[in-house]
This record gives sequence, structure tokens and C-alpha cells, in this order.
Amino acid sequence: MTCEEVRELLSLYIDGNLDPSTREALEKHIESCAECEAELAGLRQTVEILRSLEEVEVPETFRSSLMEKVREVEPARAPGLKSRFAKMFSTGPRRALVLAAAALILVVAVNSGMGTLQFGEPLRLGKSPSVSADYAARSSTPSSGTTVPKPAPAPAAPPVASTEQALTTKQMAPAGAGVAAPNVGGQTTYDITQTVEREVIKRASLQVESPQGQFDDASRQVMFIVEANGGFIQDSSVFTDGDQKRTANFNIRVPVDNFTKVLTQIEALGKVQGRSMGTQDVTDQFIDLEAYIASREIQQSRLRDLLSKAKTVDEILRIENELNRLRSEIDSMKGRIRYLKNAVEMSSINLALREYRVIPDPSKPDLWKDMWNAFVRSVRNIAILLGQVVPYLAVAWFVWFLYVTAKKK
Amino acid sequence: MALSETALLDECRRGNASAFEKLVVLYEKKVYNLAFRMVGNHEDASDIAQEAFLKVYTSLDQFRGESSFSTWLYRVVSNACLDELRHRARHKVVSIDTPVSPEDPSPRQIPSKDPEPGHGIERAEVSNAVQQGIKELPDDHRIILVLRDIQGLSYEEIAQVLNMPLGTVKSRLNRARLSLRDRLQSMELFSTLGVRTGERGESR
Repeated sequence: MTCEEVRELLSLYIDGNLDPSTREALEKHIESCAECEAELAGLRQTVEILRSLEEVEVPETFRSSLMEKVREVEPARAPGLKSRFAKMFSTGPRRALVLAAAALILVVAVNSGMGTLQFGEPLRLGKSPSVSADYAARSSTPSSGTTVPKPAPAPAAPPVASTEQALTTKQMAPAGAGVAAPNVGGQTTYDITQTVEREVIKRASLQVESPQGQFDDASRQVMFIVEANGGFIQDSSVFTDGDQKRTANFNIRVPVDNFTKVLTQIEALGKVQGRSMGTQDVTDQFIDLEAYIASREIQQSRLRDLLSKAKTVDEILRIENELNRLRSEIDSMKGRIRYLKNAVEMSSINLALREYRVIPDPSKPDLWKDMWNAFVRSVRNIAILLGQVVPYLAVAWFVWFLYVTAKKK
Repeated sequence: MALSETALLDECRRGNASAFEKLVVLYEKKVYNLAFRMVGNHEDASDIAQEAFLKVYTSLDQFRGESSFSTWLYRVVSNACLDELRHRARHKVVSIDTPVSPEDPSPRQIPSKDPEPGHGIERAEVSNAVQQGIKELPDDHRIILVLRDIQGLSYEEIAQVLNMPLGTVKSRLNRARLSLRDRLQSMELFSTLGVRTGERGESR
């Protein structure tokens, strides 16, 4: 198979629409051709990106305004066939007039020598300037501010802005109380700059099938790929099913930067049977947690102030109790933040690697095996033949023996 | 499912608008998304999707179940999109890029699925870049790409919807994907993803 042929077939390959022999030939080629392999990876990634595109939401007013229009059309349909015929007749003459006029124009046009070529010509002429206009529009896209690419970030921005506002107001209230204002204020601005970038947890689960002989190799490859990309295998298990086929489950964590890379590499290990990807935006959780911690810390320092002014043992104990409670709360929230950060930095991949039995290909016969089988078969046939013939032979020999001895007498 | 759909269709043929509304609920997302990916803005997508649904409603008697209803619906919508694009090319109407209404772009894009308001800057950027890349493809390539990779139709279904030979679908899809990949690569989308997340890691 040549590179060009392979490239023609890449899409069909990705979609699993190739017959087994072509697929094998293509895989063989790709194994030996780095360029085609890169082509495949790029194409896979493109398809993946397309498939992971969010569906756009239908505007809320869409259905209601559509149904309004539908209900307007309704009366025209409701009266049924009879009146529709009547309507057709009533509009009949007018329609006939229009048709006649159109026919007349056509006849005149054809007669005056506007051949098919010329019919095509003005059409093409009419099209080309608009095409170039389209190009012009495209080239201006990056420079002009309010173009199509804009709407998407726009809705993303307001929520951030509003949470930011909520955050600052939350912060402002205790700060107004006059405790540790500069310290907390500084921290808040830091948090905001950080949260402008969304914190997104990425996840994927993959089901890959690998032929029987290559299963162990594929499992080793998985570990190798993961380690080479700075990830680790959180847990793994292997079990054998009733058909003596093995399935290995891997829980993989990889740095978010290598997420797609690892996915494509693992997918290349066998036949991809299923794939799902998902993301979870935890930016809001971060913001909330950080705001909570900040407010708890303010409370903490206020309690410490009170503690220094406390006079009775009872007061001291109660404040200490409260401080302890706050500290453990803060600790658990910080732990949660650590957990989230880790989840954002390390994407998780759930991989099920299954073994499948290779059915011997009838197109490649094994000569020696066939010969041996034929030999065994023929030995068996001869034995059967003997079994059939020997008793008769014995009887015939006995009869002949009697005949000979009788003759001798 | 199939049964209730045919029942719904029968009701619609009798002029039952609320039965039709149920059909709209079933299919509006698909129809709207197809139109949106084809024309690239919400206003036109909305118009085309509505027009297509109206056409379906008024010509339901022409649908006799030779194909599945969704195939037929996809055909109507695809034709509506292609007509609109052709019309636009001929009349040089407004560019796709013209903002729909500069004062109030807010209710336009609402992320689905996720209850949270935003979707991450990278994600939005990627989807914009992809939309841009898709938009630059020729119409007859784009529709196949959208039907296959965004709407998830099979090759055979696409051939039915667009009324073209299977071979044409195969070769056009491959070419469309290749040229989209080239565009995405030239936007450095593949590498940017890595770079951006890398930066974020350091800033923390």
C-alpha cells in the first residue's frame, strides 16, 4: 500500500469502516511509516476535538416562536382536501399566467442563442465576487472585535466577573470590621487572578481490544506510555473470563498537558471499542473554598484578639474550643483544595484492555498442518475399510479351507 | 419509540399542532445544532431551523416512511442550510461574521449539560477555533463533516440525507477532515493546548 492510498483511507480507518484485510494492510504500512502515523494521529485528534464540541443550546424562545408560526399555518391545512382544491382553482388562473410568462421568457432566451454554456457562465461570474468577499470577511475576522468567535467567551466572562464581585463583597464585610484587612486583601487579589483561568478536571474512559498474542505486550506498552508521559497507574487489575480471555483494567493518571497524547498512544495499541471523555469545571468550587478559608481565617484572628482579652477560665476555654473547630475546618478545606488541584493537574483515564481471540485466517492455509490432517484422515479410513473387509475375508478363507480339505479326501 | 413516532406523525398530518410540538422537542437540538454549525451564527441558525421545521410540518404528507423520519428531517434541514448558504453567496448578504446584535449578545450561547455558567477559557477558545476552521471549509464538505463528526450519522445515513453516492461521502469526508486538520494545525491549536495548561501549572 502506498502512502497516498493510505491517506485516502485514514478516515474510513478511524471510523472502523474498513474490511479486515485492508485494515491489516493499512496498519502494517502505518507501523513502518512515521509520516503516515503522524497523519493518522493528527486526523484522530481533529475528529476527537470535533466530537468533544459542546452542543449549542437552543435559544429559549425558539420553540415558542416556531409554534406560533406553526399555529398560523394550521388553518390552511385544517380545512382538508376539498377546500385545498378549491383554493388551487381560485389561484389557478393567476398561477397559469405566471407559468405562461416564464415559458415565454424561456423560449425567447433559448431562441436568442443563450446556450447552456452561456447559462453556466453568468452563474459562475455571479458567484466568484461573492466568494472573494467571503474571503475578505474571513481575513478581517481576527482584527475586528465583535465577530463570531467572541460570543463564546462573552458568557463565560460575566459569571467570573460576578463571582469575583461576590467574592470581594464577601471579603469586604469582615475587612470593614477592621481585622487583618491588608493581609486578606492581598490574598484575595491573588486568588482572583488565578481563578480567571478556569480549573477544569479532564477525564476519559477507553475500551481497547488487543489480539490474543499481543495482550501482554499491550499491557506493558500501557505502563510504558504512562510512565514516559510523567503519569502513573493508580491501580490496575486483570481477570480472565469464561472464554479464557483476559481483561485488564487500568486507572491511569497523567499530567493534563499529556492527556490527549497519552490517549492517542493508547488507542494505537489495539481496536478502540469505546471512548468517552468529559470535563468538570471546578473553578467555582475553588473560589468558594478560598473565600470560606479567608473568612474563617479572619474569624480566627478575631478570636485570638478576644483570647488575649479573656479574663475567666470559662471564657478562655470556650474561645479555645471555637478556635480548634475553626482550625480543623480550615484544614479540611485546604485538603479539599489540594485534592482539586491534584485532580486538575492530573487527568484520569480509565482503560479497559480486552483480549480477543484471533480467528485463524482461512486465506492463509498452513500446508504442513493440512498434510498431517489428510494423513490422519486416510489412516482412519483405511482402518475402517479393514474393519469392513476382514470378517468377510476370514469367512471366505474358512470356506476355502473346508473346500480344499474336502477335495483332498 | 418508533411506534410512538409514527403515531405522532399521524397526529401531525391531521393538523395537531401540539403533537408537532412534541416532535420539535425531540429533534430541535439536532436541527438547531446542524444549522448552527453550518451557518455559524445563532440568528441564521434560528431562522433556518424554524423554516425547516415549518417545511416539515406543511409537507409531512410527502413523507411516506421510505426512510426514517430523522433522515428525512436531516435532508430538509441540510437543504435549507445549503440553500441559505448558496443564496448568501449569490447575493453577498451580510457576512457570517457580522455580530447579530452588538448591544445584547448575552442570551445567545448558553453552554448545555453543565449547570455551571462558564466553560473554561481554553474550551471556549478551542471551540471557537474549530468553528472558525469548519466555517472555512467548502459548504458541501462542511455539511458532511458536521453530519458525521458532530451529529454522529453513519456514512450510509449521510449518503441518504444528501442523496449522493456512498463513495462521494467517503472521499469528501476524508478531504474535509484533512483540510480541517491543516487549519487547526496552522492555528497552532494542537500545541497551544499544551502550552496554555503548562503556563497555568507554573502560575500556581
